[in-house]
Amino acid sequence: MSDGKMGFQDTAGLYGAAAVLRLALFTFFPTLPDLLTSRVEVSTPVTSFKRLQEGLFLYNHNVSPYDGGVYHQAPLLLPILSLLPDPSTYPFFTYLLYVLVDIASAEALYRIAESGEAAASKLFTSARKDRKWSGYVVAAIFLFNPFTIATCLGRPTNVFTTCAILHAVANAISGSPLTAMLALSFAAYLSMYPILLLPPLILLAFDRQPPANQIPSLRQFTGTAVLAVMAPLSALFAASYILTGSWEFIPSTYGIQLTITDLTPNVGLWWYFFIEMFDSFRSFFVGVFWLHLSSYVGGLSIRIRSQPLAVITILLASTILYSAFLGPAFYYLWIYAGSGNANFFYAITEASDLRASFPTVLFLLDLFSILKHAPTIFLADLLNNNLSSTSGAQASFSIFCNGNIAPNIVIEERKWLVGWKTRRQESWEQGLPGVSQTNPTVVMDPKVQNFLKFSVILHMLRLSQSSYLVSNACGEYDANIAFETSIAEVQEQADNLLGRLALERRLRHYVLWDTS
Amino acid sequence: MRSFLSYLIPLLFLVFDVFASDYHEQLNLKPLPQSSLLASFNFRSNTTLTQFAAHNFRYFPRSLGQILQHVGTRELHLRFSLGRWDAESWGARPWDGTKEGGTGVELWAWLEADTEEEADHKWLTLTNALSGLFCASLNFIDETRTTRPVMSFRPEGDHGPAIDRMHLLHGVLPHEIVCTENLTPFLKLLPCKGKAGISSLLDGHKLFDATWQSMAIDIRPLCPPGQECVLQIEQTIDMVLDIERSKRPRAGEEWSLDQLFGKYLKGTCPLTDPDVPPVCIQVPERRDIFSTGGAVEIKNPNGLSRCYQISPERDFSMILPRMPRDGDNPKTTADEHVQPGTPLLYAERSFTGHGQERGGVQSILTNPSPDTEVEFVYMESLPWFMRVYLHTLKARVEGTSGAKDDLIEEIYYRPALDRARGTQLELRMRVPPASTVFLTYDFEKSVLRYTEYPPDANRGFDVAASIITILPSTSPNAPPTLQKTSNLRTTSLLLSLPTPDFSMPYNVIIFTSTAIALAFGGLYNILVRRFVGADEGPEEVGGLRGKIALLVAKLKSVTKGKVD
Repeated sequence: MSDGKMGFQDTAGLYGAAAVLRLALFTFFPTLPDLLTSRVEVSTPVTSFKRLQEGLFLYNHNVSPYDGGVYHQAPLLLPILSLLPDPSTYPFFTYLLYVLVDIASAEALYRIAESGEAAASKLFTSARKDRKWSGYVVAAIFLFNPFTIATCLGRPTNVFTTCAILHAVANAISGSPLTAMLALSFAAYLSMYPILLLPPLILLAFDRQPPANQIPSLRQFTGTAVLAVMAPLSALFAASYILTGSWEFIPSTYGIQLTITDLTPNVGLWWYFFIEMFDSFRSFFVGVFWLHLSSYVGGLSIRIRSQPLAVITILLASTILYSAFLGPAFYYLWIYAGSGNANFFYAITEASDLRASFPTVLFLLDLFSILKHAPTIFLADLLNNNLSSTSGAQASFSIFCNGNIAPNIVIEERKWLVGWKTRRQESWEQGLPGVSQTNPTVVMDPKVQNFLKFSVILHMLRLSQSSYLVSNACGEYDANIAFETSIAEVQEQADNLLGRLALERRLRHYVLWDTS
Repeated sequence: MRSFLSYLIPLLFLVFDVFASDYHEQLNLKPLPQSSLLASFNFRSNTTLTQFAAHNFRYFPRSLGQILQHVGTRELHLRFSLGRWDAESWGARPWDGTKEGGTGVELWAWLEADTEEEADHKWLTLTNALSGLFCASLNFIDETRTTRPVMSFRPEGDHGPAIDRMHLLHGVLPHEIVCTENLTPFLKLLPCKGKAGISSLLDGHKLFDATWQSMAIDIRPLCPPGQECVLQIEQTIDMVLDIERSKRPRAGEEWSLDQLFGKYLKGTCPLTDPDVPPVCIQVPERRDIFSTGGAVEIKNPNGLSRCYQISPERDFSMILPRMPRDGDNPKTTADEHVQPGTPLLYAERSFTGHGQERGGVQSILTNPSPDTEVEFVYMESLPWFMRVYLHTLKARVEGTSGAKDDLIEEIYYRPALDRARGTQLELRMRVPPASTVFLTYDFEKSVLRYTEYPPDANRGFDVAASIITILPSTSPNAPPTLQKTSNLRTTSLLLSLPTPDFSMPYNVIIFTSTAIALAFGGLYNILVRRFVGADEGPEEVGGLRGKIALLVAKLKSVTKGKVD
């Protein structure tokens, strides 16, 4: 606990600077918040601040906001936010609230990073635990990340969810499981999907229990934790019912998220999928979508039992991947400029679909690395990046993929390959079955090396390309150029996939079926 | 028996004679500036409620009457409209705008029902029945296009205590194109069915070539004091003809009725009230008019209109010759047509915003009167895919000294529900004298499922006209036009939504599913494996040789087991 206090003194300056920067942006660019509010990169149909304002307006004028198709957010946000002065006349208080939420998230991230859970959990200690980043750096990266700032200015409501998730994780690590479960129930109440994080969070909290009042049985601990989530959640629902006078908020908030009926474009891929879906198969694919998303929870929790934090990270990242992953360029050309023709559209769709498959490869590589006990710093890095990217600027995730994660993989993969011997010795000491005591000679395959390098370059290229498209979309846009680039991208992606297959083939050299 | 009938038949005629004056028709012509002519056809017939209840339809069309009885309709208003009334040059609207609809088809009715569900069910029956009767797509007035206006419409008839059980439902089809197939059933409802009387002038080619036209059917029960209650059906056709265009290929300033309508008026309808002159024209006294033989001109003492009593048997037409501007009896423009009256309110509505995602609506409402305030109800019935942000609704006034904040007095708002109902917005507001109010709000365009787009998706979606009901002034010294309710409607709007590519649902589904399969397959693959060094596993020999070696090894183990 003393670490936390010291931490706050350390970071007070950082938080102050972040707050000043945000308030300065709010003050000196008064049109910026409204501009960002309507940006798809910042807000989704469910979390948009403009819709929140509409909900507040209806609520304050005694019209049920759930008896309409605009407001899909949790009922308790309404009375809390209507306590603030009207955002259109006195926006300062709303700004202040969002700045405080950002700082609270950063504080939680700081605590997570300082705890060293990413480097050394109860059941697993990384070989390079000394190379982790300090909490100060992580909090700074989060707070001065342009996407976090843009999200703060755009004021979507998912920053509250993110803040609650981060506090749940931080509290689980610092040994207060009940507080963690309470925070998670708030997150689940606000946007439902965080309930998927319950199993890994329980594991994390179980591993980090304070020795004073420990519950030794995992089953008993799980029971208590589930109860600790359900009780506040039911209380929140009951309060919502009392507030709105009916249960109609449930279909209008969680129902809309579950059935994906609001197809307003966002940076996700799914809205487009469900536009084009045949009517008779729509409900089937909605089912597949949710089943798919939730199927990872169990598998990952069991397989990476030793690193529950990594499970939480991967789950959060896959939520982003499946609910919000698409370059903004496509959206701009089609919706805004309206200049995409059928051919161009075809190429862009294809490219975006393939692009969506690409991070999958990245994830597999990440997971691969995690499973091989290799990347400690990388994991911390990935974790921090991902957690900060959930803070609303969901598109930032793709940028992180482009900018940060891919190079890490290259570096870490190489390190892993170099550090193979160490790992082998560890596993030998642990006496893993099927591991002989001879020292293998591992050579980095040049094809693997080239593929990884190539993928990084490709991502850099794509980043520049999408910024090019965005800049063009605002002015006169030449569909042909984009068409050609998209076609080129498709070809690159195809090469990529081939490269991936080649990589898999090489990797299989190291991977054998578990014979036991 | 025969003798009995011979007594009965004169008796029947006697009964009929009592009601003979219960049908009347009149054509009102009004030359407008810019060589336009407003022609208002009005047909009205009454039947007593007891006769109606006993299925004795006389002048009342049986086909329509049976539908009304079946669904318990107390009052019905149906409108078919095309074009735009140019208030800037044509002035005030005919009938104070009460007999016109927004572009397309508009229907509102008061239905007798105990519950809202029953009313909805009856409404569905009514729209489907009327759809068949009028050859219009009225059956497309589903729940997303139906509203229940609260402030805009008031029953016109006398309903007595039944008013408590009445439900008002209103539906619009702005995309419906009114055409000849709607006129034919309209004429069939008339007692003379377009064969005689003023309805013989009506012809689809001319009517739907008009700059603006509106066909209206109003059915309402009326209880004149001291008499039996009657059910009145009033059919109206208003059209503004471009004189130059209608009399092509002939040119010149003079025009005649048969040139404009393409045929002569074939006598009078024998069932009509003989006291009501069938044709009237509103022109200044100094305007020369020649009529065909057998017609009697009756001048109105105010000098602004004259009527014609025409022969029941002979064809009728009239000629308005070119006005000599010089010579013995020079005429001025003032003699050519009566100056149109100033409307109480000008209204126009347009889309603002840019891009395909966000938009806004701006309505400009101008009160031309220098001293009278206008109070009205502004009603919008918007499709659900326009997501209106009511908190952005603003009213800004220009022109009057000292801006007023309380322009909007009352708001009734029913937000849209996706795929279930549209937005209904009613505002009671007022415009101060000689000033303009700008009413603006933002909306967001939704993206629909690809099956929800019409075949011509890139044309855009029609948004129904907003309906403005000017409320009667409460002050006793208001001008006479403000003493009663009047209406006006803006034009309908064309909303373009972003469209997906309709040709490739397969591609999208296949590619996305591939992405899922890659993700899931890869993840599953990695989750169920254990990682060991390459040299730690059994020796792997590829190709056919390897398979054979594996087979041999298996066989060996089997034989070994047997030996053991």
